[in-house]
Formats: sequence, C-alpha cells, structure tokens
Amino acid sequence: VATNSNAAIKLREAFIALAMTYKGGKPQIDKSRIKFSANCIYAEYNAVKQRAPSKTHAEITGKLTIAKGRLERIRDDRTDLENTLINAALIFKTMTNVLNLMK
Amino acid sequence: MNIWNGAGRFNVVTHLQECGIWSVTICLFLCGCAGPSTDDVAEFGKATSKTVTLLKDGASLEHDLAQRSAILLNSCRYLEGRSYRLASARPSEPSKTITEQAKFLEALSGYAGALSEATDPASIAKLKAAASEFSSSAATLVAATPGGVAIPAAGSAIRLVVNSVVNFSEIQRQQAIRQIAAAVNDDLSDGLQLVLNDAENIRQFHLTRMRGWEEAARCNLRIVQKSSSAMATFNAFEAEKRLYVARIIALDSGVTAMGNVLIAHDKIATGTGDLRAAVAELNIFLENVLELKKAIAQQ
Repeated sequence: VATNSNAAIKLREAFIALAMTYKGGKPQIDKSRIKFSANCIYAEYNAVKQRAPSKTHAEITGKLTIAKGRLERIRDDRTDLENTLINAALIFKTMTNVLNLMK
Repeated sequence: MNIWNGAGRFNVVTHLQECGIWSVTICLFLCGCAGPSTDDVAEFGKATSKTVTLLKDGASLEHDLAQRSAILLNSCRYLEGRSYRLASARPSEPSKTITEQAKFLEALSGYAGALSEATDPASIAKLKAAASEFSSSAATLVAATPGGVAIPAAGSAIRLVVNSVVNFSEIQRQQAIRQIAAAVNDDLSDGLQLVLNDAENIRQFHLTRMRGWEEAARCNLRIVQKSSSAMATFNAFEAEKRLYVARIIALDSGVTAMGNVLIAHDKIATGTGDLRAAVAELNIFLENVLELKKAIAQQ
C-alpha cells in the first residue's frame, strides 16, 4: 500500500543503505556523490515525515541523554517495586511470628 | 503501590478498582509482553559499545598526533641547540566537530547501556522472586491470623493477584521502553547523517595533523642522521606513522559501523526482523575493521 508511512520507511532504508557504502579506499568523487545523494534522500524522508532533523551533535546528545534518563527511571521503578515487595514480606514475617507467639 | 505507565506513575490499587482485578488478569494472558527481547537488547548494547570505541578513536588520534607533534618539535629544538620546553602543552585546540562527535558517541554509549539495564533479565527475575517471597509471607500471615485457617484458598488468591500486578507493571515498562526506542530511532538517523557529513572534514583534519607530526619527525631524523642511533630512530618513526595511517583508514569505516547500529536499533524500536543476526553481522564487521587496522600496522 502506497502511504506516506511506507514511503518514509523505504526512504530511511535507502538513506542508511547508501550512507553505508561510504567507505575508505573509494575515490573522493564517489564519496562526494554518495554524500550528496544520501543527503537528498534524507531530506525527502524528513519532508515526508514532516519533521525537522537535529542539525548538531549537541542536539542529538541532549535527546539521547533524556532517553537514557527515562530508561534509568524505568530500571529504578522496577527496583523500587522489588524493594517494596521485599520490605513488605519482611513485615509480614515479623507479624506472623508475633501472631504465633500470641496463640 | 505505584507503577510505570510510560508518561508517569499511577496508583495500582486505584487502577484495579476501576478496571477490576479479573479484567487485568485476563488481559495479562491475552496481551503478552510487547517489549523488546532482553537478550537482543543486551547484545545491541555490546555491539554499540564496539562501534563507539571505533569512532571515538577519532578524538584520541587527534590528541595523540597533536601531543606527539609538540614533543617532537621540542626535541628537534633541543637537538639543534635552541630553546626548548619539557612536558609542553599541545600547540592547538582540538577540532570542535571532533569534540562534539565524541560527546555524541558518549551519549549513544550511555543510551545503549541504559537500554540494556532497563531490559536486564536478571533484574526482572529478581522482581519475580521478590513477588514470590511476598506472596508466600502474606499467605503465611493469613494462615496465622485468627480465622485464617477457614480460608484455605487465600494463599493461591494472593499469589494470583501479586503476580498479576507484577506482570502488569512489567508489561507497562516494556511498552514504555519500546516507545523510547521508537522516539530515539530518528535521532540516530540524524546522527548517521552528521557522521556521514563530517567524515571527510575529520579525515582532512587528521591528515593535516599527521603532516604536522611528520614535519616534526623529519626534523629529528635530519639531525640524528649521522649518529649511531639513526636507523633505530628511523624505524621507530616508520612504525609510528604506520599506526597513525591504520587508525585514519579504520575511522573511514565509522559511517558503515554507525549504519549497522541503526539497523540493529530498528529491530528494537519496531520489533521486526532477526536482531540476533543483524548484531552478529555487525560484530563480524567490527572485528574485520580491527583486523584491517592490525594488518596495516604490521605491513
């Protein structure tokens, strides 16, 4: 089905595949052509997705750092739940011992 | 008890009251886990770390060349009987592009590590063990409570509810992880574009630095040419240059390595394809680059 979403996927795949052909040992003219064409395809991808790409390394670094923080929060959330369960289990054990003494 | 729901936390008790505990339990059986495979994410983290190490050598190489040039220029001045400095500072600042790229690579490495930790199978197993411990002690408490003996099904009911809550919270976490990965996918594409566009500038910058190093090395070689250590000095510089050339050539594979990281990350973000195969290919590629580097240095 020809949709913008499918077109974007194909354009992104083409961009990655073309960029990956940029390797050492190739004549400089070929490398320049690869770079130019990959940039054109990527511009098309961004136009189809109606997104503004990050223009600097610093911008992407910021976004990756935010994503890292969110992932760390997920990890901590799991640990918090684990600790809550462990602490509750300890309290239950103590209460059970007290109740058994009262019998 | 609060659990993660992607955008924030919500109260489990309130939620269960709203939806009904049984609808949640049934959902757990029907929905399954929508998150990325934990083993695959761990392998992705390992592969990303190798790529980052490869590309980050750009910053180390720049520093090594600048530092060695400064040392050699001073040793040349010393041999010529001119004023010289020991432990001199590097003469020029590193390229802003290289510095920024190194920070980006550091952030990519941090993200991959956090992704690996967030989906760590060991931490999920520990949570499940804690849930099991909680259920057992709660059931024992109920049995010890006066009148507790009258409700023998309490133990299994507690276990079912606790497991449901724990599993439900884990599904929420896995979905949140997938959403984060999907959002990062485009940032990594932007990263690939920048790495591609900067590759030639960085290469030229390294070649300029190497010409500076070579000029300083030749100055030393000229002066020691008539001495008994001439050949040893020549051989040392010869080997040193080969190492620098090998590192510059290896850096040229950085764009391809970054592309492979994107392909591996796509699988995590979209949950399609065989990630294990993609990561295995990436690892083979990176090992080939390292072999290439060694081979050039030994020529």
